[in-house]
Amino acid sequence: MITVTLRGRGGQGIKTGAHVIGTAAFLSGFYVQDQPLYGAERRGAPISAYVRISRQVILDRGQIDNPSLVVIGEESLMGMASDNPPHEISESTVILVNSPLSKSDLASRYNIKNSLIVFDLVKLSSGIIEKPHLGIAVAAAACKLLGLNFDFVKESIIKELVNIQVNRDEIARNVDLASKVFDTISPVTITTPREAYRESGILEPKYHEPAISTCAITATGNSMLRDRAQWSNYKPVIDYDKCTKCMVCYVYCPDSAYTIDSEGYPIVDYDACKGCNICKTECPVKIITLVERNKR
Amino acid sequence: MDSKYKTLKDMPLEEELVPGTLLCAGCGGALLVRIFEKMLGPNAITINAAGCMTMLSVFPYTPFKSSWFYTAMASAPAAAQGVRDALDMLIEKKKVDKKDDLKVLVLTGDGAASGIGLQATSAAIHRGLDFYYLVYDNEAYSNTGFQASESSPFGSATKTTVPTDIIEGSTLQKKDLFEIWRAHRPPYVATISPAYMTDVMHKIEKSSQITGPKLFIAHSPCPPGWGIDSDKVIRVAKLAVETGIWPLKEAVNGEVRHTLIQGKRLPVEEYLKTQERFEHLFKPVRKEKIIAQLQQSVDYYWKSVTK
Ligand SMILES: Cc1ncc(C[n+]2csc(CCOP(=O)(O)OP(=O)(O)O)c2C)c(N)n1
Ligand code: SF4
Ligand code: SF4
Ligand code: SF4
Repeated sequence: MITVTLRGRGGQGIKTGAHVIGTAAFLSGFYVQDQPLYGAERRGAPISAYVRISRQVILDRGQIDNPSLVVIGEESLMGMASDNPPHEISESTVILVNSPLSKSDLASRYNIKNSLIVFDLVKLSSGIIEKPHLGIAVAAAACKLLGLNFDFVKESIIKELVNIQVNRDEIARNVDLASKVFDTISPVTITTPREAYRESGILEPKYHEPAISTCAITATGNSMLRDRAQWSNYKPVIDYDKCTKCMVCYVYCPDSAYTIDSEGYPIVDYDACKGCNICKTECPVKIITLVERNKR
Repeated sequence: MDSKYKTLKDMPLEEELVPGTLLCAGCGGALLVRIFEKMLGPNAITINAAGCMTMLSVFPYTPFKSSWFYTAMASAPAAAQGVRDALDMLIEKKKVDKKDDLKVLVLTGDGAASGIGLQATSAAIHRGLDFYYLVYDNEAYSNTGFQASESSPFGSATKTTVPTDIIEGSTLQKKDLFEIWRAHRPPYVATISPAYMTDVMHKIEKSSQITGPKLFIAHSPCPPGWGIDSDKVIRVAKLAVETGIWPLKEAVNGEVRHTLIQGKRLPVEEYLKTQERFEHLFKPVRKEKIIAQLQQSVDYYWKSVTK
């Protein structure tokens, strides 16, 4: 069995990407499971999806640890030690990333020793499509690494995009891009992890006290401890010389990212800011600007 | 009433919701929850029916400084009754000090409020349960991917009301939850908008003097569902009020009062045009009939108000 984990942000089409891989493998004659991690798939929030591909009926369920291949939709998601749920990779996991950076830059920046494949979607899509469907493009790259035939990949892309009501022209452009991505990627060796079920038989869940077995949170206000990738590549910056201390930015921030200092000036906590830009749009004197964040 | 909250600068500075949630950037509902929790203060318990806001607390993390309780979609008002009763009993038995009493807040989306949870709310209002109810009305089942709810506007596109050559989005009218709730003669029911925060503060302050059901329906722009940029949430909310689509009002013991009546209303299309869920009304050709129908229903509403 081969296992794939995809990481992206809500709205980028990572879930569709997982379906594309799954359907392409299914059309190729394999048993397949593909699913997004349901729960908090919000626009901009880091999300994951999984694919299992096997020649035998797949009996494993649940999240995948130590996948054969990890597909990462954009570089800002690389710095996370874990996402939701904790996400492990082993030395043999192959990592596929969409990034404009070179392989050696990425490997040294994130201290990666694994087999790493990098492709630059912005570059590849220029002249083909203005807003490429990220999920489709990464799925095409992954399918190449998985050794699937492009005919099945194409059929799968069309099927999945029709399902989400994408128009014919957009579908054609995404297929063109997928074909280009597919041809760009060079194959590498992918290992197949062992199947948990076949190793250990069916696991009987044991009874646990509700205090242990239910999801009770006894801590208060601890969500800043979550290991979160930054949501936006830009941050709002205030020109304090012109600030009237009207507090509009503070009031309208949905994420409690602002505090008011002792002199009445608003201060943004950039770890808390999701980059919605409401504060920038609402500031009556228009003194909030967007500044690119230092990439982690 | 003389209010403590004259301008935005009077907003309490203590946050009851810390950052770090998984909700969308720019979520209008989340903003109102943040403000509501601030106004209620630390002695509150939030009873949250399944919907986007249950994504606030995802094990093992929570942004809430106060207590939070997750219920099935239909049953938040019933759970609120249980919590209120338990608190009352504990206070009576002197196991909880009166000063540690908690305000009970029911928090649900419009799907739960106007649809599956309507019966439980009706029962709670009927019994005179002492609680707050905040419905963040994003006008669809947002958490599951924006399917139509009983609160989706006529003509709007959702996942289950996809515009086609023959159908212009939702063919059903938005349920008038304010009137449904008001028919129960609760002591307090109000509509609010995130673009009018002093009005929000006034209404919460006013209702806090009242024992019994205190009900709020909040216009809650949803960037992915409505097809707007996240920074436009307040702009869009403001246009809803300026076009008269979202009236700001309250009813005390059933007596309605509009808290804002505009001299001149903008045409409804100024609001509709800002959102992808209404895009099919303008492209590829203008659907004059639907736009006129939407305008007429707003005009009709305000005619009955001002006379
Ligand atoms: C009885 C029941 N049916 C379906 C669901 C699945 N479900 C979870 S949230 C949700 C949508 C709720 O919509 P709404 O109340 O409008 O809140 P929103 O998602 O907009 O925040 C649905 C259908 C459920 N939790 N319970
Ligand atoms: S951009 Fe949005 S999240 Fe960030 S500080 Fe401004 S309002 Fe808050
Ligand atoms: S909205 Fe603008 S002027 Fe007002 S406090 Fe914020 S930064 Fe200052
Ligand atoms: S889908 Fe809409 S209501 Fe739900 S969290 Fe996102 S913005 Fe808020």
